[in-house]
Amino acid sequence: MHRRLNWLLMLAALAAAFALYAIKYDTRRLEARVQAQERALEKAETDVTILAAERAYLARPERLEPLARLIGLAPIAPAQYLRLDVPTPSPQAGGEAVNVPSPLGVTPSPVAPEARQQNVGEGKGDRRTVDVELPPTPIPSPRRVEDAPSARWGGETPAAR
Amino acid sequence: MPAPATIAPPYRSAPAGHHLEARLRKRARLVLCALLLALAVIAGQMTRLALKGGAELRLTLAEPLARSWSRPDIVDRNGRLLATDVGVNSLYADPQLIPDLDETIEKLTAALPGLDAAELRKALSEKARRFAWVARGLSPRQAQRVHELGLPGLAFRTELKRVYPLGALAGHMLGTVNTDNRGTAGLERMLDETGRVEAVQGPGRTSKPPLRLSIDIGVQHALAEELKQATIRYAASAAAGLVLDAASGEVLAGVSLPEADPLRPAEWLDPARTDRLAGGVFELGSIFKSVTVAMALEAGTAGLDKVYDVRQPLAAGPYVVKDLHPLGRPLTVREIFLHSSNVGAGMLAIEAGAERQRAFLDLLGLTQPMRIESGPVAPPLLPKHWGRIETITIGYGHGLAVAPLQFAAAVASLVNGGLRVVPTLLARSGDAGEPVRVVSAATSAKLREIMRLNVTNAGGTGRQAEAEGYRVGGKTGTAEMPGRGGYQEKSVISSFAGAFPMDAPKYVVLVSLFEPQTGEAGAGRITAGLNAAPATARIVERIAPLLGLLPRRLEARSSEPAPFDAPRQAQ
Repeated sequence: MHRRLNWLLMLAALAAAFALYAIKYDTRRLEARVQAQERALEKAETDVTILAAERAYLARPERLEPLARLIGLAPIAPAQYLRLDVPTPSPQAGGEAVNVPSPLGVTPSPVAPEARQQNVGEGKGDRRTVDVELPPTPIPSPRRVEDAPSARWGGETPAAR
Repeated sequence: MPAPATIAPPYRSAPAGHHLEARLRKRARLVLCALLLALAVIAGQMTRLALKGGAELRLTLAEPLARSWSRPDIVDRNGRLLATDVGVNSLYADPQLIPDLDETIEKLTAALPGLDAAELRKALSEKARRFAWVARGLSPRQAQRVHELGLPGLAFRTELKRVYPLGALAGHMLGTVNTDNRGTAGLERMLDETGRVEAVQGPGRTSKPPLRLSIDIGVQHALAEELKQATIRYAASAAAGLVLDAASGEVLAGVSLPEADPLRPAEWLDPARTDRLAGGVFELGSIFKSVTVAMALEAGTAGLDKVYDVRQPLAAGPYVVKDLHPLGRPLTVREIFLHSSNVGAGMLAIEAGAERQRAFLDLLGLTQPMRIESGPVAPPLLPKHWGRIETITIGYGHGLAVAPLQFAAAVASLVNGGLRVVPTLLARSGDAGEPVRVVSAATSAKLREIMRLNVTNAGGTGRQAEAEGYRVGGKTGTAEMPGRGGYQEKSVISSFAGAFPMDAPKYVVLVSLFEPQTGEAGAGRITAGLNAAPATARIVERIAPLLGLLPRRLEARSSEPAPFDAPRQAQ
């Protein structure tokens, strides 16, 4: 009776030792994984801050402005605003040219015709235009309301509210 | 293993009688109990540790980390980054561990071109020292390059470093930090003083939320760019510009040229780079007449159509106040404002009296020191004695020096319907409390009327400030700067203080050019109407779209236009 019990206990002790070893080994591995993850997290966080700073540096207006001007962009001139209130057919006499009233009620391009432009990207669906010689501030010359009788500029229509 | 049965338990075969057996048994049981108790204590302790978790027992291998200070990010009102902390690698050496000094120096200087070889040799030759900085604040790429050299005796420490991705933009407001990443000026200092900075070991990031400013980077850049062009065009030595929300007092943009770079604290000591918006006081000249007229209207001593005889120079003790370009006829208050008559403004001030003038300036907050988040604003310089002469001169903006920021806040209070404006650099989240009325709505409306008239009227001094569609209104001012032997005629501050859109002002704009040499009409024509006013027009035309304002094409026709994306109603 005692002998059997001792055997059993010894076996149990052995089994417990093995189990303990296995668990300890597992724990150590898991801990290493946790640490690796934590380190990765820390690294990712550091990377995020560096990338955020770099992104802000690349997107600084000081750099973007010359680039934007290079592709022919400019601050919005007051004359470039349109109102999209009512689609008005053009009152032009002999309106042969204006069979279908534009939904905008205006000729779409606010860019002055005299601006020297060149089409690039032929073959593609879109037509990008780029100024060849860049004036210091390529603001399109403002259109007068009387120049474009079909235009419904902001403020001309009754307030939509 | 011997069979357990061969050894008989001693008490079984003990010759002694029951007596001894019982004693031994008792003893054995006692020992057993003690052992069990000890085991139970151990088991209990283990359970306790297992349940509590071994967080405080875990040992982490600490890298050699420098203690530094972690600061919250600073972002603009739209969340764009103005200042942040990045972990940088700082390279140090243990001179004792360097086997080949020549090779080390050669390879290092090749990898880091900025390094001074002679200085490095000196630092690394001291074998007694176990620590010497080689290069601090390396970029990840540079650090990688050094790492790849595989030189013994070199190691990295991670430190936090404050970076300003936008360079000197808004530098005067941001301030500076020292090498320990602690704030020493501006908003950075405010962060330290309000306890938003955490001490960290290594590159730990703060959990504190970012500081959201009231400024808009786009507007700030546009203002800085236009002011830079204006200083070139009009050959000015310096400039200051401010865009202020007329209702909330939020500073949308504030520029003082020449700029100060937060990363070059040494530059800040240069007096030319002082913050001209908040860090200096100036006699701003005729733009003060808006305040004088508002005072006269508010006190009821004059209406806009009251006529004053301004033909005679105004005698004030030993001085005589004259108009530069007298019209040779009596002027109404409206005309006094439009033609910027010093005599007229002096007469308005005299009529209201020194006491009322002082009280009105007190009410507008132009006499008390003011504070904004980045630090105290330079306190106003008041005359020692407030007599008849001072009343007259303050009436047209001399004898009282204030910081432009403080003056802009007063203008905002005058045009926004009459409610006090307290300028702030932080984005306002909600209401700033009960509004304090400084002037009546009627006075504010009248002031708006004459400010707009000053730009639209053919005789107004601010004609060139007109930005098509944005209804700018305001007052010009050309103030002679005090110098050696009195005021200097050729050295002026020409300013424009106004607001737009003038029928319901959303933004107050203040532009000051220091010592301009030319104007639109040619060299030597340095009055504000010819330089500060057109500069303002350019600024407004550029920033109004960024602020979401729509130009109005034909002002007389209709009311406020609906935003372009507003839902259209059936007509």
